[in-house]
Amino acid sequence: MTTTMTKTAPAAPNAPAASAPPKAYSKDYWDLVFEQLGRNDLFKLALGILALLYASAIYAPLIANDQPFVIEAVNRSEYGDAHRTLYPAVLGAASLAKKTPEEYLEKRTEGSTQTFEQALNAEREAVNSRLEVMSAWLPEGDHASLDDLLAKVDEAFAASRAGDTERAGELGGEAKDIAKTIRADYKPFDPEKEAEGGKRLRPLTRYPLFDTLTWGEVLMMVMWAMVLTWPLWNRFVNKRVLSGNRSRIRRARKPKFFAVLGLSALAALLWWAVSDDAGTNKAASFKAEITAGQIEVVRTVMPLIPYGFAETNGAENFRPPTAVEKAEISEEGYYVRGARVPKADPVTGYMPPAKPVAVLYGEPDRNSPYRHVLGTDKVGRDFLTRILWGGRVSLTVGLLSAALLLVIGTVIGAIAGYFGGWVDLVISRIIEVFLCIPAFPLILMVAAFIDPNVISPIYSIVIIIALIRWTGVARLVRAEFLRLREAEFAVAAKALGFSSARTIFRHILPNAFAPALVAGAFAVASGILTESTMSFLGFGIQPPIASWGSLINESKAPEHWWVQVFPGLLIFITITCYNQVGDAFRDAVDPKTRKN
Amino acid sequence: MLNYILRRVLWAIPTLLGILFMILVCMHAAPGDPAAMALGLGAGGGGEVSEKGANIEAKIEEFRKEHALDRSFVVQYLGYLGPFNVRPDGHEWFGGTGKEPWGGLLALDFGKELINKNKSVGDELKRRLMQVTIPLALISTFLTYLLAIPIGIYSANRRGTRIDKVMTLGLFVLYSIPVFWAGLMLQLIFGAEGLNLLPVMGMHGPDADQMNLLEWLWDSAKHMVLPVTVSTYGGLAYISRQMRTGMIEVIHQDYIRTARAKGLSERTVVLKHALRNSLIPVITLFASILPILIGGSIVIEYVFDLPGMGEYMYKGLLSRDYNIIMSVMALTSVMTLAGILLSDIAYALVDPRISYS
Repeated sequence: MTTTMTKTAPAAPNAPAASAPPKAYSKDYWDLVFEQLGRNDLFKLALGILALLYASAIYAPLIANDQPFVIEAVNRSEYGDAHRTLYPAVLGAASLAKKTPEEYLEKRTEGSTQTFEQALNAEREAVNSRLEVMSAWLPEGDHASLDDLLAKVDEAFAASRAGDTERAGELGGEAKDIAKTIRADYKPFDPEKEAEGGKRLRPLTRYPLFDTLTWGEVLMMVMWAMVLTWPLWNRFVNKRVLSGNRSRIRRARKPKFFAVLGLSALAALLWWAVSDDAGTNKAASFKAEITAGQIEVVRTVMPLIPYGFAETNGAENFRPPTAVEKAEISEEGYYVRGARVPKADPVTGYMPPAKPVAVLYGEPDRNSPYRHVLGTDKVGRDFLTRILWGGRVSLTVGLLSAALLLVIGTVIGAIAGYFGGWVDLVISRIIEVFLCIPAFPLILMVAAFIDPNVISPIYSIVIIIALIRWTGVARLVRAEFLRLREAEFAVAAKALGFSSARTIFRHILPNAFAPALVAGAFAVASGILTESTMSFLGFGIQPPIASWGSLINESKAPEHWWVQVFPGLLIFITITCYNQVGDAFRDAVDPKTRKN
Repeated sequence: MLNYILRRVLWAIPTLLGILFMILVCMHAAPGDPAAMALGLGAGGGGEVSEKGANIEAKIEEFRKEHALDRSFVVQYLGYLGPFNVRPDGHEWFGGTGKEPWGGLLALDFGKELINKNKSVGDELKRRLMQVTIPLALISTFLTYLLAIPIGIYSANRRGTRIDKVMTLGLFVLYSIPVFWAGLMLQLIFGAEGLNLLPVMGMHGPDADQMNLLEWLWDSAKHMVLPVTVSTYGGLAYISRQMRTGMIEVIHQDYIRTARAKGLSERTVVLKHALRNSLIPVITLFASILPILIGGSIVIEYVFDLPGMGEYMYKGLLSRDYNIIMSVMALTSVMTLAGILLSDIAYALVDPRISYS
C-alpha cells in the first residue's frame, strides 16, 4: 500500500532544477504516522494544551517570582553597611600590620590554625570588599581616596611582610587617617535628612531574577522555546534549506532533533560559564527593602506575578481568590464579608487582634482582584505561584517515571521475547505475579517506608512507579518480539553474526517500539495521577516542595474550595491530554485502525 | 473442562506464593529501616537519638525482635506465610518458646495492631470488609455493568453520528478525572457549602442509633450516593468503551449479516445475536476493574471518611503498621488473583471456541 501511494510534494518555487523533488514519493512508516496524527484535531488540541502547560512550568521563574527582572536602584543600606564597617576593618588591618608574625601567633585566638600570611590576606579582603561595594555605588570622581586607602593598606602590609614593623605601623596610622576622613565625608545622601548632606550615590542596574536561574533551567527554557516555535522554523527549514525535497526532509529529522538538543545544551553551558554564582542572590528580598525605603528605585521590571514560590504573606492565610467578594479585607486587616468576619467575644468584648495586610512594592493593592488570582494557602503564599511552580514537580515526575518505566519494560520485554525458553518463562511468571498485586497500594506501601532523608521523595516516587509499573510495557514489547524474532530481517541479522544485543536494539527494537511508545504516553498520565494521589494522601512530595497533589493536601475543608479546585483541574487537564495523545498515537501507529 | 479449571487453580498456588514473596521483598527493598520508620524516627527524629539514644536503640531492637526483623529473610518469609510462628513466643523449631506455635497467613493469622496490641488485624479487617468495602465494591460493579452495557450498545449502534461522538468524548473525559478530585468536587457541589443536598462524610448520620429501620436505610443510602458515584464512573467509562469496540467488531461479522439477511428485526439482531458474543470479553474485564476498585478504595474511603479496608490501610500506612499493611496487601492481591482466575474460567465456560486442553 505504501509503495503505490503517490503524492507530489509541494513544489518549492525557487528550488534549483537539479534538486527538484522526485515525482513519486513513497512514504515511510513515520510519514504515515505523522500524516494520520495531523488529521486528528483533538490530538493537535491536546498537544497544544500540553505544550502550554509545560511552558508554564518551565518558564515559571519568569512568570511568578519575587525577584525583579531588572532593577536600577540606589541601595543605601548596602552602601551604608559597607561605609559603617569600613573604619573598624581598617583599624583591624592597621593593628595587625604593626605585629610581628611571632606576636600574632602568640595572641591569636585559642584553637586557631591561621598563619600570619593568611591573617594578612583576610584583613586585606575585609577592607577591599567594603571598598568594592562603596566604589560600585559612588561616582568615578569619588574613587580617589578609596584607592588611596587600599594602596596604603597594601603598603603597610608589604612593610609588615618585609619585617619593618615600625614603618608598617606608620603606614597603618596613615591608612587610619584616610579611613577616618572617609567615615566623615562619605556618608550616603539621604533625601529625608537633607541637612546632613553626604555623597550622592549613583544607581546601579542589576538582574536579580536571572541570577537565580540555574543552567538546567536555562537548558529547558531554550529547548522549550525551540519546541514551541517548531512549526515556524521547521517550515522555513524544509522549504528554503531543504528545498522541499521529501527524502532530504526525512533524512533531516535526526539532525533537527540533535540541533535542538545541541543548541540548548550550548546555551546551558554558556550560562554555567557566565554565572558562576548562580543562586547566591536567592535570599535577597528586594520587594521588602524597597517598601521599607532602604532601596531607592529608579526603574524596575517585575514579573507578571510578583510573588515568590515560598514567599509568605502573614495576614493572608487561606485568603480566597481576590476577585471573590468574600476575600475583601479592611484596612485594619479584618475580613469584611462571610464567615471570617471577626466577632467580639460576647462576654469579654475581646476582638481577635488584626494583622494588616502588608502590600509590598510591585504587588497589586490589598483588594485588587489581581492580588491573589487563585487565593492563598495556609501561610499566605500566592496559590497561582505555587501551582505554576508545583507543576514543575508534577510534570517532571510524570515524564521521568514514564521514561524509566519504558526503559525497564522494553529491556526486560525484549529479553523475554527474543530469547524465549526458560528466560521467557521466568519473566512471564514475574509479570503475572505483579499483575495480581494492585499497583497503587503497593506503590503507597513502598513509599511509606522510604525515609525521605535517605532519598528525595521526587526521585523515590519516580523509581517506585517505574519499578512497579514496568510490566505493561514489558508484555507489549515481549509480544512484539515474539512476532518479529522470526521475521526475515531479524533472521538475517542473526545470520550475519551480529551479537544478540545488536540484533535486539538496532534491528528488532525500532520495529517493535511503537506500541511501547503508545503505552509510554499513557504511562505519563498514570504517573502524574499516581504522584498526585500519593501526595494528596500525604505519602508523596513533602513540604517545602510542592506538587499539584500536595497542594490539594493542604486543606480538605470545603470552605477552602480554591485549594482543591485549581490544582485538581490542572491534573485532570493534563491527564486528559496525555490520554488523548496516547489514543491518537495508538490509532496512528496501528495499521488496522488507520483511516485512509 | 474440569481438568482445565483444576490446572488453573493449581497454577494459582505458586503465583500466590510469588505474590506474597514480592510484597515482602518490596517492603524490605525500601531504603530506610522499617523499624525506625515504624517508630517514627525516620524523618526529623534524628536529633532525639543522641539524647535518649540507648532507650531508642532498645526500642528498635525490641521492635525488630517482635516482628522477626532480626531473622534471616527466608525465616521471615516462612513466618509470614505460616503456619509456623517465628516470633519470640512462637514455634520451638524456629527458636521460640512454643507458646504460640501457629501464626502466619496460612493459619489465617494476620497478627495484632501495632498501637493497640490487643486488637486482631484479621477481625478488624473482616468487619470493615463486610460492612463497607465489599458492599461498596459490589454495588459499584453492578452499577457499572448495568449502565455500561446499554451505553456501549447504544453508542455502537449509532457509531459515526454526532451523539456517538459526544458520548465517546464524554466517557473519555470521565475516564481521565482523578478519583480523589472527583470525590472532592462532588463534596463541594453537594455538600453544605454548595447545594446542601447530600451528606458528604461517613457512613451514617450522627443520630443513626435512634432511627428506625426505614430511616436508617434512607440515611445509609444518602451517605452511599457520592462514594458509589465516585467508585463507579471510572469503570463505567472504561467498560462502556470496551463494550462499544466489542460491539462494533461483532456487528461486522458474517453471522450478523446472515441474521439481517434472514429478515430478523434490528432489535433481535442486536440483542440476541450481537450482544451475547460481544459480552464475553466485557464480562472478563471484571478481573481488571476489581483491583482498580480495591486500590481506589484507599482514596475513596479517605475522601469520604468511610471505615472500610482502604481507610484501614491508610491508617496502617500513617502509623507504619507492619501487620495492617501486609495483611491488606496480601488480601487484595489474593482477591485480584481470584478475580483473574474466575474470569478466565468464566471465559472458558462461556466461549466454546476456546480450547482448554
